[in-house]
Amino acid sequence: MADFRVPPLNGGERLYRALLYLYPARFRRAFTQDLIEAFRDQRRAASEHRVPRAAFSFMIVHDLVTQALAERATSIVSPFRRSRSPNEEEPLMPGPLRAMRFAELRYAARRLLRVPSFTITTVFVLALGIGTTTAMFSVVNGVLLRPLPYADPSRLVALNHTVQVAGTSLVDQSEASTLLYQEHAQAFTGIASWRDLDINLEMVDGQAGLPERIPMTQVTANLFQVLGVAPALGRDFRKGEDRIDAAPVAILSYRFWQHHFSGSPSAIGKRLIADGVSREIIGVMPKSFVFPRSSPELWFPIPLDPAKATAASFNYRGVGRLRGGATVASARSDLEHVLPRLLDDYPSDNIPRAMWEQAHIRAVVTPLRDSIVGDVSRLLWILLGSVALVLLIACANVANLFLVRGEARQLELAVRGALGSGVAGIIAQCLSESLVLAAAGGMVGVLFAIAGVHWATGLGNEINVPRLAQVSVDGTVLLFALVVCALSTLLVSLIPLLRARRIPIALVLRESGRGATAGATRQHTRNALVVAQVALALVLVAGSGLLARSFTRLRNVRPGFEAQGVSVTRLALSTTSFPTDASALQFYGNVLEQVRALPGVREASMSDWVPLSDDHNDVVVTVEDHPLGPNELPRVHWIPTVDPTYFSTLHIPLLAGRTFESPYRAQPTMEAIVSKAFADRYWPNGSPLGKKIRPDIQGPWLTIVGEVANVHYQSLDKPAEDAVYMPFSTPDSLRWDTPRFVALLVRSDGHQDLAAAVRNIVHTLSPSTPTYDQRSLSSIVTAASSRARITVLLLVVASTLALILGAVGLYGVMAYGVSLRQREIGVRIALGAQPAQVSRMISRQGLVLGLLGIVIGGAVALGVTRLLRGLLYDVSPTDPLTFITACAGLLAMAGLASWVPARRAAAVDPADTLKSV
Amino acid sequence: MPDNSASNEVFRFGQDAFYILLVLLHGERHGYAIMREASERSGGTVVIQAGALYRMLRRLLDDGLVVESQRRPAADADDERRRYYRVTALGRRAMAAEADRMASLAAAARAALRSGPVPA
Repeated sequence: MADFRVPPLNGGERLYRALLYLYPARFRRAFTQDLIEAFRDQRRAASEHRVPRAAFSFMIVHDLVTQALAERATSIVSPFRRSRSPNEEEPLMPGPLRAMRFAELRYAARRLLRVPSFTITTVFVLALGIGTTTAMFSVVNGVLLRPLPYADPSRLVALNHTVQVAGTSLVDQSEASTLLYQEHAQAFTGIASWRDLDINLEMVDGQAGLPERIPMTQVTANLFQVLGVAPALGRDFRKGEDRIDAAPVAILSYRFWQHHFSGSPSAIGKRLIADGVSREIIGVMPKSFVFPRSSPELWFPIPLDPAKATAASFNYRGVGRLRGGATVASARSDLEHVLPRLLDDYPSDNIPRAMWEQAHIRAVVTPLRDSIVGDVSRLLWILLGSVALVLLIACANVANLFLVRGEARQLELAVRGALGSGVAGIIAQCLSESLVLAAAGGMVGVLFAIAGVHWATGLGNEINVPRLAQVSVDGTVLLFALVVCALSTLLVSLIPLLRARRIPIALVLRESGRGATAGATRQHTRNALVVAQVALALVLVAGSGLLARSFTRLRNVRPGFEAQGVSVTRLALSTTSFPTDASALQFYGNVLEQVRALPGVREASMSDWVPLSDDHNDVVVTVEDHPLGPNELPRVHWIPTVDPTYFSTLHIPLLAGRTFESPYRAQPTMEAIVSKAFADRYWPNGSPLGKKIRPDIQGPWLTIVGEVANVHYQSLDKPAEDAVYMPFSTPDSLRWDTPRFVALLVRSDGHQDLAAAVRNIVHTLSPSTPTYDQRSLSSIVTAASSRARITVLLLVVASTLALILGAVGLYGVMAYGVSLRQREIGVRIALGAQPAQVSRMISRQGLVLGLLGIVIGGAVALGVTRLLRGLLYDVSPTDPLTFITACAGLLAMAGLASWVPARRAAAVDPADTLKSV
Repeated sequence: MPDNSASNEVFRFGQDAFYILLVLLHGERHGYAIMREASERSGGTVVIQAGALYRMLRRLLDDGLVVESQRRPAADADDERRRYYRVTALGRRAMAAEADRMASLAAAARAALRSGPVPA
């Protein structure tokens, strides 16, 4: 048994002693020692009886907190209750809880309805704060916190490689690496890969519709097993069905099944034709199934051929399920152990081993959820933090409202106490009012949240936040709302309670209506709350200002082409309809000829890469007069394939040389065009014209015939790429195929809607070729910065709310202060002060509060905005212009908010106030 | 009802106050001992925590029903630090009045149980 006969201050006792500060000073002076002794005794007894520590601690803390609060509350009304009801009192809790029956809540609601402006303001302010926080939390919960909808999702990991080739870093899996890991990796119960593609759906179940271009995902046969989800109908892929010689099969998504088969189970066994291949339908995935990162309509097996599997085309996303007991680190070293065999087992790429080694390829294993949502997590947490600030400001506002109201009811409370109402009753009254307000604010807030979430999920595709479409206001979110509600209530009702002082009733009666002394003390608290509000508002405004500035800078980045007036229509040629490059070229030529003849069309062209869309094409490029060192790796460059009129259609300036010859008539030529960035990289002092390059490490060279201005292909906030443009038609020796997936770019004078006409031309020339994804180029460019735009929008809304709440808070405090000091002001004016002087005095006070808040807020903001570092484009987190503007804005707000009370003060009629002396 | 004029003030006891005084009637006690004995005497139904105990003691002290005791029972050094409380003469009188009140209430209840319902 522990020896407790030591001076106080061992661990638990120190904590207990600190908690004793919750009691009023007088009580502490009398009983601290006794309480500590009693605590020791109880602890000794508890350990003797083997009471669990948690239960004991809870009991002690519960008793201490409730009694301390009750003791403080009692001091409001105790002076005239000396020899009366105290002895009838029971321990305070559960007194008020018992008193807070439904009846009490009804009375509270009725009392609140009698002061509609207070009630409505409070409920609205609380609802704003709770609603925005809850909505944002729904997003954070749905995107970041909720586990992935697969079996035991914490065991799923994404498999990647890092590659040290200039210009690339993180890549996925190749066919060879997938096969290799599947065979040899020990740390996994299963490894699978997939690739998202688009296909032409030509026929379903013998009914031909218009050929449709739909998203499909190619998967290894075990992918659904690895994810742990089984088809709802039919069967999963079998082992071996993902080989090139296997019979083609397909699994449908629920959506596809409903659309094409109306949900009939007879779909199993039927056939469909896609890209010229007939497949048997073997299964349907469940309605609730969500594929990571994309939403395909169909799944086909990857037709792998182990004899020809390539090692270095990292086109497949890899996923693995960790074996029980394996960790991310052990899985990684397992893969590292296996990786060196890749070139030996799968040599079909003919990559020199020295070059492979130079690339320092390493395996990377990350938890699957992180790999899906990782790059938005920071942004989302920052947004959540921002709306939490709004909530705090809202709570400060409501606390101030409570203080003001509490003061107004001082007289009423004192009289009640004098008439013998138990302290329990009064506390119950306060708490039940807080409860009713918080409940109302919470319910309205949840409604706001539902609306907000509805809007957010609608954004889904535009802003490329993964899993956003599955966000909803579910049980977790409601629980969060409840907790936030409870905490806010506690916060706002605690402050008036803790600040309570014993007020002799005589004093109250004498001074009521003239500004009780206690009013001054409460004014300090109110001022402090307002300063806090202003500080928080500044943090929010500064942060939003930075992001807004960054967004403006981004929008000012010139993409390098003229998007206005250009429409985009995509085509996909199937190899069955167009088996040779020549046939594809001829088709393109015919389409372009007819499109150019349409009324209103100025130019038309084609390319396989639309800038700032999701298109992607990067290839290794070697330059003749920059030969590679012995083990040096070639750079990877971005390579769009374009029609000769591409540059003039998009208004990309030709800086030197010329564009390609027409590919539809002349012989294919060995020509290339480069962007300025490419030319500057290799020939900074000369012209690129006439130099030779090639899209490979071996093979024939192409001659550069032109240089064009830079274009942003990937995104606006990355530098323009050093790109190489290939012509549509090249000699066979180059092994560079004519692209089958192209975008038709049409510049018109905008008066007609040419979309239907373009579609018609394509379908007339080739009925089996679908067109899809028709949009304007401007909308693509806008979408490229949409995530930044939405973020700025949200933060601007939050800042506006914060400013409004801060202004309202400041105004309220100033106005109340003026009303308290009416007598003093009347006297001043009677003694000769000019109204202007009086109003200046009041304004100055308001500005001082505002200034204090700005200084504190500014200091905090300087520290906090560092969190925004990764999200800002070309703007420093401590950008002086933004900060100064934010401070000026808040100062103006403070001035405005004090202006009305100041004018009211100046308008005080001394005759009125002095009458009541 | 017996005359309460022994004291001009009417004390209405809550359960906790009653048990504290009951325990102290048996002699001086320190805080934790009061808590323990109150629990024992009530068969575990009345459990007074430390905070509640001292708040109640403060009122009893303010009202003069209890005082701090100057005398220490002979004990080891540990107990020297503790504060002991004892009941005052006023406190005794108040408890007597309360006991009378409860007795007459009990008698009324028993009489009603024996005689049965009476038409209104």
